[in-house]
Amino acid sequence: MAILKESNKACSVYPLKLSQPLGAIYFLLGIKGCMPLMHGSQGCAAFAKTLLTRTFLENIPIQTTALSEIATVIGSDDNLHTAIENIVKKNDPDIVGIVSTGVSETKRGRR
Amino acid sequence: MRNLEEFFLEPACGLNLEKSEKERKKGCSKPQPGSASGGCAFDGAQITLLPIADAVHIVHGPIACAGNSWDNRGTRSSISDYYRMGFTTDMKAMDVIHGGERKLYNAIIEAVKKYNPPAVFVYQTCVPAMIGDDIVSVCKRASEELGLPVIPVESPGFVGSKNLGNKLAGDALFKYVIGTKEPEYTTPYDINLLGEYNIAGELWQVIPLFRELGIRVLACITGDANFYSVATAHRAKVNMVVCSKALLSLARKMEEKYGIPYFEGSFYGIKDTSDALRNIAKLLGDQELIEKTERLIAQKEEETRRKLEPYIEKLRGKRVLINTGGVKSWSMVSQVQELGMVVVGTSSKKSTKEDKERMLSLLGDEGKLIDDPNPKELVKLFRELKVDVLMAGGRSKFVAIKEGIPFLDTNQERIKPYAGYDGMIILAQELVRTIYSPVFELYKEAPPWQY
Repeated sequence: MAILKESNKACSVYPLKLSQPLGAIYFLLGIKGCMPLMHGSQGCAAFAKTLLTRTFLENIPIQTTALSEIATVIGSDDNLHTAIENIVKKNDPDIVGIVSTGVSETKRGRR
Repeated sequence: MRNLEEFFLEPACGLNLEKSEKERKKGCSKPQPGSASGGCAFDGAQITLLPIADAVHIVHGPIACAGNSWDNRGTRSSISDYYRMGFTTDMKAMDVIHGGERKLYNAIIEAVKKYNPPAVFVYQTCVPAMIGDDIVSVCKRASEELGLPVIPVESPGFVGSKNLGNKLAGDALFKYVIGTKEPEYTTPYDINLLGEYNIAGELWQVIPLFRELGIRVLACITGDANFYSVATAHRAKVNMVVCSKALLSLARKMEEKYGIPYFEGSFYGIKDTSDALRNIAKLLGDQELIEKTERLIAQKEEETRRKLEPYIEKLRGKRVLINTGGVKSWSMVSQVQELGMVVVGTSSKKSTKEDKERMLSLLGDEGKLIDDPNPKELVKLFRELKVDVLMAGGRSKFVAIKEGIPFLDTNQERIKPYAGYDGMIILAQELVRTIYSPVFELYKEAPPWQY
């Protein structure tokens, strides 16, 4: 039987592990006409985009709500609305798939 | 978190000087929800600091920050592999609830015990910044415990764009690193290169030129750097800011504190390389060196032009469209014009007014400025202007290839180095290879089984 072993080290080296939101995006990309929208800082989407682009050698559409430090404190709903509006205006997708990230989840926990 | 305003008010930044008082208060351009692209401040900080290859770089945050960005830059090093390993505290839900300070502290101790680096850089990311992890205090305590520099880099992604991250990293270097060590010896010909990241090994094309002139690159910030050399950077006589607006504030601060004069230059193209060498010689102020530099420039230019001849024959009159950002867009224009090519368009995003004027004067009647086109517009433009080759970054790469457009990667993911005199020849070779490649014609034909 396989044994699942949790590391008890504080420092991960050679992090051969990708984030959960990346998996969600991977899933959403399989849906025709879907634009994944990452609810987090712009880097969350940029890293996922470069990584998937490098892996598949394809242009990968991912958008971001580009949360700023102020938005994470005061409220990020505005960003989400503007982002959806902009995406619909610019790309006209069939579906917008919203993926939460560490940033938006941490914020939700604090509310 | 400290006040970010000082970075928005950078007096040496050309883009800033053009703004009105009101615009300046708003700060640098902010990312727009739903239409933003490009990296965050943390990405920018990593770009600037990761090339310090012998230090351990610990990313304090959830796995995405380090895991998804792991080893995504083309910088090279001859010293060590630590910069490619990726150290992270890999924060999970429990760490968010209980705070990640203890984990970070343990991670620093673990990493130092195992890898014995000369210094540790710790990067703050969004999540620990939100829950209030005080990485500055943790770094201070770890530093006292271990007796080696542990440098906090406060660059959580949500504070802004990649460019702001470059600046924050430069600030961390200025505050915690530069001036903390003394070089073994100094010469009157010590210089620093700022904002040269040794992408694809470009630094190694330039170093031999300096060596021939007897100039020592004391510290390259931060391409192929080790921690010690960066720490001794304050003893240099001249700072050269290489093709990057990002580390300009660092250059200005070093001038104010250590009296090191700086200038902005680039190593792209024959003319720019010669100008850069000339400027360095002039600022070092040694008559003999100035004459020696002129001799080297004359010899190298002649040699390069001779080697370029066969390529120029093939490239003359070919039309090229350039889509990159900032300073690169005009420095690259002069570079391909030296090859006898016609630039029909170049992008003006992230460029200052000065940059734009420079571009327009270089382009003449034929060329036009394009403003950050999306892939669709780019392809349309390419067809309309009857372009022979597209020079752009990775973002346009796969669009171009799918459309059967000859494409040359000139951004940070590039594999070939294009700096200095040798880089010019490599660029010419690559351009000939791309333009004359039969694949773009074959691609349009039906496959053999459909004849």
